[in-house]
Amino acid sequence: MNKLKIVLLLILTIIGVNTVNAQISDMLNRSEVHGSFQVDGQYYQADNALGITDSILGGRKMGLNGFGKITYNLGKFSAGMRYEAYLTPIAGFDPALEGNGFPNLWASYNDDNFSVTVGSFYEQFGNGLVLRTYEEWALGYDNALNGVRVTYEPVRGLLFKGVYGTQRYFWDKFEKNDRGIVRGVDAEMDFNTLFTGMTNSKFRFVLGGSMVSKYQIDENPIYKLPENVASFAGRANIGYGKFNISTEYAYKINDPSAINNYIYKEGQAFLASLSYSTKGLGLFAQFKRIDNFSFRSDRDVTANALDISYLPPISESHTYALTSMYPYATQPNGEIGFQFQVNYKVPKKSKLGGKYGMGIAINYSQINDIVRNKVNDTTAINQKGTLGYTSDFLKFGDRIFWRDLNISINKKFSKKVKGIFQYMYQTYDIATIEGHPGEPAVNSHIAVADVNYKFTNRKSLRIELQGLWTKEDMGDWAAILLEYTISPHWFFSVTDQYNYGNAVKADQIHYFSAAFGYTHNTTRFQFNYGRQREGIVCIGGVCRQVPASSGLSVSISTNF
Amino acid sequence: MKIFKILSLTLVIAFVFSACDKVEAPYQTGFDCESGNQNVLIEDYTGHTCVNCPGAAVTAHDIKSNCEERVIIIAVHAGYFAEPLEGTEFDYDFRTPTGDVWNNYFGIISNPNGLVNRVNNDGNYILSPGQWAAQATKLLAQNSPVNISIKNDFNTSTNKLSTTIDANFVDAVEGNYNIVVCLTENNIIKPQKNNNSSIGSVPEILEYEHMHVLRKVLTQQWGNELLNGSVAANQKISKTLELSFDGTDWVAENCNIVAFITNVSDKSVLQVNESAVIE
Repeated sequence: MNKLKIVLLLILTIIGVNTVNAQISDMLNRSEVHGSFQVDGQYYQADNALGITDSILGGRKMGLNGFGKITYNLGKFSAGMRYEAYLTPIAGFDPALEGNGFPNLWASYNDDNFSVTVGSFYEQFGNGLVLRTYEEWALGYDNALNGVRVTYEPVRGLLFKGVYGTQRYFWDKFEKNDRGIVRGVDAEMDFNTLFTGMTNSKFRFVLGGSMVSKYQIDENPIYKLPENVASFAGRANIGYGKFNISTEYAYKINDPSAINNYIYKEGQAFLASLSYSTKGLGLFAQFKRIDNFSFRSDRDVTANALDISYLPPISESHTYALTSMYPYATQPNGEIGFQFQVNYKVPKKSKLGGKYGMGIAINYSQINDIVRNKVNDTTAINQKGTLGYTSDFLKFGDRIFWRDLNISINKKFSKKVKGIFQYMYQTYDIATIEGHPGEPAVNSHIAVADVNYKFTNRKSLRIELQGLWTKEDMGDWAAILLEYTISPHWFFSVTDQYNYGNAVKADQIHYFSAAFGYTHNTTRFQFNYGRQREGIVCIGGVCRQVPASSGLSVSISTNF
Repeated sequence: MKIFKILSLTLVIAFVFSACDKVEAPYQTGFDCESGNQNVLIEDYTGHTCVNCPGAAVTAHDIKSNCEERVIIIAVHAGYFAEPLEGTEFDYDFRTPTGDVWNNYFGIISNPNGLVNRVNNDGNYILSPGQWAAQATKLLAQNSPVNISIKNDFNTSTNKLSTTIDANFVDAVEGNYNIVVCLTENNIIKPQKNNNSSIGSVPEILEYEHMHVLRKVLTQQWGNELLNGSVAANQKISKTLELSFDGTDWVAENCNIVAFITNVSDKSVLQVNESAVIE
């Protein structure tokens, strides 16, 4: 009898193990793992010409920024984590980043019309005026929300979102009252999807609305501070044929903060874009007005962190070394501006277009300060603990923060030679943007020639010649870059930026550097040795200052 | 119908969230200066080319104006923005060797920033100006086991100051404590960069009134030993120090002595007081 029991038990165990094995095998077959890794390292050396001495380095010979992100998917479930290390942060990144660990962990369930995420997540409502959380590695910026995110699409074309959580602040774990709590809801209706009668209509219409509120306790014994600050936004996207209009308006109640000097004025933000596109021609116009619209989950923080709102830039983002020397940083306390862009493709075989045609792009953007008037005779403009100021909605202030006229021509001359030629005139209010009061605005002419010569299908040489001419700031610059590419694996480059017009003779410095890189599938190695000039890196109007440095930098990245 | 329900739910949620606090004037409230005997030391790390520093000085002044003698300010000019710029109006050197040491030790890399009673918040001493008031009000409500009294005797003929600091222990204390004694000066008229038009001209205030400027630390930079062991309640420990004003541009009438007792291990301030050099 006992033997029979043992045999039965063995059979059941084998069946059970097989079933579990089959389930595990099935699960593994349906699983997907994705990841990306990057390590940026920099070895510093003293460089007397740049004023970098051993005592300034103070033994800090190396900086390292690195991350690894892993995402696991199993059907409707996904989970992930992100590891970061800043040991120590590379020069120009916020020293508060120093440390290592797992700042972001998350798990998510996505059904057909419903999703829920817990842990760290990124979200954007509309253009981001009242909510955008994102991560930008090149800035060392991450304002991820840690909490719960829910989306629900009851019918196709109608989407609801809700978020609730606290934002990442470098490595500081959230503790009671040490920063605000963010709550938000968003609804968006895409009429062309929602109503079957409009599916094939030339007329396109999307309507959306958001509300975001932050809660932060008032511990300030001097001022009565609002503990719940709400912001509201409405948006519409209307298209007809080749035309498209997109607009969003946001309003925020009183939100005294370190950024706005603790004034109690309400905030407003308005963004409108108009575009037209047809074969060979694209037109784009944009208008933006920001008035006291810094919205952060900690009213006392001034560092590049904890932004709830995102104020999109309306100036063209430039990529060449000298065209991006003076980049514009969004002014959340107030700015008003516009942008126009024309893209035209001169047809092939025309007189101007030649055999291959030619692309022409003209862009003009200008951003001014807003007008500020006294709230009464006894209160100074922007005085702490007052309503601050009044401002007319459509009036441009006299102070020009930024002006940029640039013309770019993209031309292929033959099967072997093609080039991009750019001219730019730029006005940059260095006093406001970089916080150098008293310094005159930098007016500069900038020209770029970027020519690519193809020796064979795999080998090519690119030459960049650039010049920047200005009487202000550091004076004139010239730059040259030679880049030899052996596709698809190798590149080698040498570059020099020369500040030959600096009024201080000792600062007429060459910023030489040499680099090479190797790419294999999705893995890329890059080494760079030389000098890096002092400057500003801006992405999406958010900027960080980069000090001058000298040494070797290495970057390794891969993803799978 | 389902859509209607969801829309209703969203509106309800929005309504709950819309509990937003519209604050009406007057926007200022007051401090509780009556509870506790713990005085507060605000160290305002600043610099004459720092455009945001006048705003921080106003913040410190606002806090002090609520509780006057219970809030003591030291403006420590140190770091990049305090460097004198030769050949410009900003060529005056406000810096002190001790100020530089403190600036480096506490890890102040940007201005304005400060310390309030040198409280270490999870490894970080630094507070932005917007955080000073909240920290100050917490501390003001606390009790310290010691009070400090300062007696200054300035001899105008010899240009010498003799200062006697009495640490009067109201409770028994055990541990290792130092006393730091500083000279600060008010009403120094020198240029200051500024970006706040509600305070003064932008971008520079050429005749800015610098207040509470750290001039000299009479003790060693981290203080002279006051107590290493224990002291009973109602006991007094006194220290006398001397300082010559010769060869300096210090104006005795504008100067104060600030004395504070610190815990040697974590640098936190046990008590602080201030007294004018010439009453």
